[in-house]
Amino acid sequence: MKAAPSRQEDALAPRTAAPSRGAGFRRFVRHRTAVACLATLGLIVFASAFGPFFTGYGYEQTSDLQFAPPSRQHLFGTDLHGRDVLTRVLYGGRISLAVGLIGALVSLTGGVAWGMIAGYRGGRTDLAMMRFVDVLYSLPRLVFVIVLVTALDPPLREGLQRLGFVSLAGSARILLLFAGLGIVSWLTMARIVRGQVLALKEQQFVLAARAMGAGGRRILGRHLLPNLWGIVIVYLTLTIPAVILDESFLSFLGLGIQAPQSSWGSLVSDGAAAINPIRIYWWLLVFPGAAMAVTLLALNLLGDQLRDLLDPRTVRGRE
Amino acid sequence: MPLFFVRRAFLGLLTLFCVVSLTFVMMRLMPGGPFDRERKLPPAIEKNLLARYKLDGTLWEQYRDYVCDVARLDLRLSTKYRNRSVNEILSQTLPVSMALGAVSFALALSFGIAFGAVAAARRATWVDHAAMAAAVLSISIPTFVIAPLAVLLLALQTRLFPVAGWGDARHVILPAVCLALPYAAYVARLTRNSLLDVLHQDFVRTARAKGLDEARVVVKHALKVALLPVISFSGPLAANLLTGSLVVEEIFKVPGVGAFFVNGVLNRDVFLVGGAVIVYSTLLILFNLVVDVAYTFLDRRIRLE
Repeated sequence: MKAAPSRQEDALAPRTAAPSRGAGFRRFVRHRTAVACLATLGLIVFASAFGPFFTGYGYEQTSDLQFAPPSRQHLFGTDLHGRDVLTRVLYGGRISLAVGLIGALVSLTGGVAWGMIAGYRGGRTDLAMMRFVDVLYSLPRLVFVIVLVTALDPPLREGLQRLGFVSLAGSARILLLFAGLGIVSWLTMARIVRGQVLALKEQQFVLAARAMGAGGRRILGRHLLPNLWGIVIVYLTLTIPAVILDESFLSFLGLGIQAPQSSWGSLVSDGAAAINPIRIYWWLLVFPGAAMAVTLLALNLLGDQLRDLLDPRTVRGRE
Repeated sequence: MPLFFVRRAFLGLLTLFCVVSLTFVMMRLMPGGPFDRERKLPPAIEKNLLARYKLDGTLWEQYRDYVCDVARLDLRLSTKYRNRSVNEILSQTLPVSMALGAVSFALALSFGIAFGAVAAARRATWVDHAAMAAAVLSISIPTFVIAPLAVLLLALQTRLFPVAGWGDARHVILPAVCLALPYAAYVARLTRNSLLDVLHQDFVRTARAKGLDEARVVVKHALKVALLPVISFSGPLAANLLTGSLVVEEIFKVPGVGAFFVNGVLNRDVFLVGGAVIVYSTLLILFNLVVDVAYTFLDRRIRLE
């Protein structure tokens, strides 16, 4: 590690060149944006996790009050079946965020490991492993998930019931959705990590480690991995919004989360379905849409900030 | 160079083969055949139906025959839309999706590059900040939120555009813009970042030193190099857009491939889904190849190997 300063150390080291007058301010603003993004995300996660307990309504609790506009009883109004939209948005947040988290976890474990091994081994192993990634890449992503979910939903449900997990069987579809989105989410990460490893493994500190008798596993874990964290974290923050978006697309098409469960995508879908020229139920569209947009915005901005922070090139290019 | 194409063609075919196999296996593993109805069909009729749609025999035989048929470019009959072949359905719907996709592609690239270049040339001014704020917003607000809002405001309230449907040029505008928006934003960000890097390189300084005005430096010298990442992004972008966005087609009721594909999955229409997946994947592979070739024209240092 010490022999070759990593990219991220480079970026974090104090710059010797005198920064221009606006630069300090801009960097401060950037960090403040990052902090604001993190705070917003924390708030959304917290609200989704605990909010549904405090709204006073269940997410599938129907009432006679159809299409009520936002009021004190129902802050976000009610939908076609008189269900409280606020509760459903919060509950939908759980599913949408969980999907993002699963995608992130799969990228973090599968994608990183795959890319590291392919890049480090090189040769035939690399070729075979990356060809596999390429094949999955040429599958249209969503199409693949759609086919997977519809194909395996009934057998999984049956299997779970037979094994005695009756309560799980009801959410077989969600489990499959998580799995399918996880499968397609790690590919970019694998490619990027492999590229980094290819460049890193030629460096002298790796040679030094090998000369001292370190094995492949040790070199990967102790010497290469610490140098990869920066780029991995950046792509993680960009993977999460992509996966959330994918899930909501599927739910929008009616192929993901099914009523009475909700995700942000299925809620927007309900809102879009309620559009008609006579009466406009804007709250069905605007609130779930806004929840989603704010989350994605915060994640994207955070990813941008981290990338700027960790990539010395872009920072210098901008100041 | 010829070796390059041979290799890519081989790898492309291999990929396609994997895609066909994977789709077939998954669609056939689905419980519930394409002819299951509330009332069970008499066995004799079901047998005839399965034979007509080549769904009889062992799974292995079915698979082998299907791969052979696909190799002959026969995508077989749709099991849902009786008596229509998948080739026929695709040849009717694909042009619609492609027309919409082509307009979106042109919009995304032209607006994206223009905004990105202006933002880079005027970096750290309000133009740059406004363009980039707009870009990150357009990436973060999902298409299916923007599209219904656009229908509400621009079609229902002000009646500037038709609500949905397909026919004349006015029908194309709203769906194409909604489809293009996030991609345009992405292209703008790519262009800006890459151009900022390039503007610091020596050959740009040389161009300025020769006394060229800034517009020429940016457009004629720097942009050509800076567009490389945009080009590599435009391959998958084109494939995605030309095969149509499922969501935008659904919202604007555009009669493209999207609806057929979604219904195909729900109806266990094995061959329709297979056909659509094959078309998607072929386009993706082709466009990636085009991108690699385009690279060499833009940057002579890159050689095809």
